[in-house]
Amino acid sequence: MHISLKPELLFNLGSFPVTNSILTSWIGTLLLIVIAIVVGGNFKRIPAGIQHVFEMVYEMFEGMATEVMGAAGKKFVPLLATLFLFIITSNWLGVLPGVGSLGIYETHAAAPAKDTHAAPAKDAQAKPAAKDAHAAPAAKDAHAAPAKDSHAKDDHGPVFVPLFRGANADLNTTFALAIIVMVIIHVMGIKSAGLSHHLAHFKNPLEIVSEFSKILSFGFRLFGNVFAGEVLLTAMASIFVIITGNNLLAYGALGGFIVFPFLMLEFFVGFIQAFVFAMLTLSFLSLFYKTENSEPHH
Amino acid sequence: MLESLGINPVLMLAQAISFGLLYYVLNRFLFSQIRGALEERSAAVSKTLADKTEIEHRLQAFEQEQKAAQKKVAEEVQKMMLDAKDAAASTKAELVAKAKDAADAEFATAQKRIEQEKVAAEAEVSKHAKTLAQSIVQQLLSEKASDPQWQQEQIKASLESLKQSKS
Amino acid sequence: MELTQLAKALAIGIGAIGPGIGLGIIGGKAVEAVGRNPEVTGQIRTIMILGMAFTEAVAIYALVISLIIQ
Repeated sequence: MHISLKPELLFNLGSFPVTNSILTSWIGTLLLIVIAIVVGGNFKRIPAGIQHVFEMVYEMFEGMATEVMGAAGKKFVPLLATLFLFIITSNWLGVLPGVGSLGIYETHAAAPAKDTHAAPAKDAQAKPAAKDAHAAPAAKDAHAAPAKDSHAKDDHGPVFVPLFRGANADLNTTFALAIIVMVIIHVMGIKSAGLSHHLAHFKNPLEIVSEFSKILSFGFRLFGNVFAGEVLLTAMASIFVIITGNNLLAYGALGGFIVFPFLMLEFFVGFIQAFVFAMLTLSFLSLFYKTENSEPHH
Repeated sequence: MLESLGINPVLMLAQAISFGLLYYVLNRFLFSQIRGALEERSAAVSKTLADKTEIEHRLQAFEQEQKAAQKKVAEEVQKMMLDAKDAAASTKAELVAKAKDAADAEFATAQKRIEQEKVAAEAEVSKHAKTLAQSIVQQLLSEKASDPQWQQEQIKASLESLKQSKS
Repeated sequence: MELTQLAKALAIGIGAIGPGIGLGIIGGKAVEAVGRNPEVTGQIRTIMILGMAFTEAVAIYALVISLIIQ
């Protein structure tokens, strides 16, 4: 069994490499945008359905922001809520059956042309069981080929490339979020306290190192949790295949039952990580953001 | 290292841009409305609460007013009763006084009359007595005048009394 | 090859010890706190989950390292 640490390239859009994780993240973003426009378009005074969910999220972060930073925290609520919604959508999309298992086999030639002869009918049924049906060939493949990633030079037969991959199981996404958040935190710190005041936080060079370690910890925390979740799901689904070495359909069905509680766990982890990301953003913001009347909290 | 982790600045930038877009759209179409709705709702709730307190205040004031009115009425009734009592008492006293006055006046007139009657009676009696005494004196005088001795004695006695009165 | 696999296993295996202990301490203390004053269960839960996420991140770093080792 092998799951690539980095996202697989699907095709190039001009010079822009479209990977499977960015495809998933675009799908998630598009989904959120459509929902937001639909909900915002016919916004009702008495909330119902999905509008209620959004209001709940918004109110939750508003309550926390005002608790941590007072009334000044209110203007960061959209950022926190967007972070939360984006991360939770990506995480939950990544847990869905089909993500990571639905894919194509690429015979690695020079061109990044996609070989769409794959994605067999087995995969089309969106069941957790489908997840392992492909992990197995991928696993065998990985065992056979010492070169680990899809960019393997020597062609040991076709390489399985999943069409979708959890957006946060890609360090690009998580680091993009982490860098955005840290930039916003420092910009807001400078805006609220003034440049000299803000720089006074970093008399000790270790503080600067700690700021960079915040980025790393932000990025790796989210990535690690989501990626580990995917590894766990794949491992659990294909556990019989791995143990016995036989690629049987019955093992796949069994794996579907085994993976179910872990799916639930991953839904929970997806929520928790989204929540933690937003909460950490809030607490780091409150560290540097100086409110008018009081010293920032810790 | 970065290559093995799959970090690609172009992809990162793309993710950042798409996140920014998501932020803009959510903020523009959803969060602004939610914010407005929440503010409106909280305003409505606080207004309702204010109304409630106002109503309670009013109710309380009304109850107090009612209570005060009741108290006032009760006091008035009591006062009226007291007044009536007082009035009754004063009328009684007046009546008594009047009666007493009347009685006194009656008594006084009665006394006066008695006095007058007494005087009149006395006068009558003295008149009668005078005439009686006159007639007796006339009788006596007529009897005694014929007696010279008695006359002399009489003159002497009167002289004597004159002398006495002179000294 | 054998040593690489050993390195992977050791990285996550040793790396998981500390966070494991830490998670146990966090959970136990949270339970104690809830037992002491149950009226702030919600706040304690939030703080506990935050602390757990921090602690768990350490194990995740170890996992990432073990995955990076080729």
